[in-house]
Amino acid sequence: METTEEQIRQQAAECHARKIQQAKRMSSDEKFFAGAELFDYACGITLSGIAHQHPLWSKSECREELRRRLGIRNLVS
Amino acid sequence: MTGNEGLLALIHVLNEVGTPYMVVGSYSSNFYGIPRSTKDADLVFQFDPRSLAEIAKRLPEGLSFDQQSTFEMVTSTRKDVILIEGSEFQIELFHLSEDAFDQTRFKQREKVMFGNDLNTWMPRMEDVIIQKLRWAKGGGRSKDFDDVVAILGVQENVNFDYVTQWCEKHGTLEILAKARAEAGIEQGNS
Repeated sequence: METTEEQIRQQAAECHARKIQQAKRMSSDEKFFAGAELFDYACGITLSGIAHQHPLWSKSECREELRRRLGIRNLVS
Repeated sequence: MTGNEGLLALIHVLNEVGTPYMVVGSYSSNFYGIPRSTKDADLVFQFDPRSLAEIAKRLPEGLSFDQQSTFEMVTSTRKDVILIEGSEFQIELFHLSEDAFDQTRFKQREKVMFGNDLNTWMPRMEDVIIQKLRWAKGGGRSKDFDDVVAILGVQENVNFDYVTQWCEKHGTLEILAKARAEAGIEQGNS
């Protein structure tokens, strides 16, 4: 059976409500530090993907590609 | 060094030097709303050349100032960038501007304690909403709007009279109304 637009809207609303409840349960410390932790986690996954796509690249070449994708210039390595 | 380690090291330096500052941007909206990933930490500080030199002198190994200070267009403020060795994460230090709202939110900032011994300064929740709406309008970034909807969803005692006053001045009343509707908050509840 096909999912209707109304069902998708309802599921999105339920998902958002769960996120709100989860955020309310988190401590101040967890919430403060979560942004950078999620970023590090995402960078790790992206780096693995780059290394998988380019098996001959060195670690620094993979990081350079990650920086390019992030739109970051001038970083210390 | 990770992004959070870099930020903690900088906060320790700012506290030691005694430079008035506050942590703003996504760190502040994560604190009051629903945490999301962020590639930088934004701080506003009261600029004076001597304290900036002192901060630079005390930065631990692994943290360094980007040589090029830049200008941020939406809020017309100058900023310095701190790079973290071995990390794609950056820390942006915005100079406190003469803008009336920037001055007000800075004066009203609150001391927050993390862990056992980390004192830092954050803007009030309403001031985070007001600034994010300004960014949503000026920068046209949907994530700032989403951050506001998230804060409105998590927080229960928002002073909408105060928020509305500033939104009127910033021309962001329409976006505020949209965010309230998205968060399921009736317009009459202030």
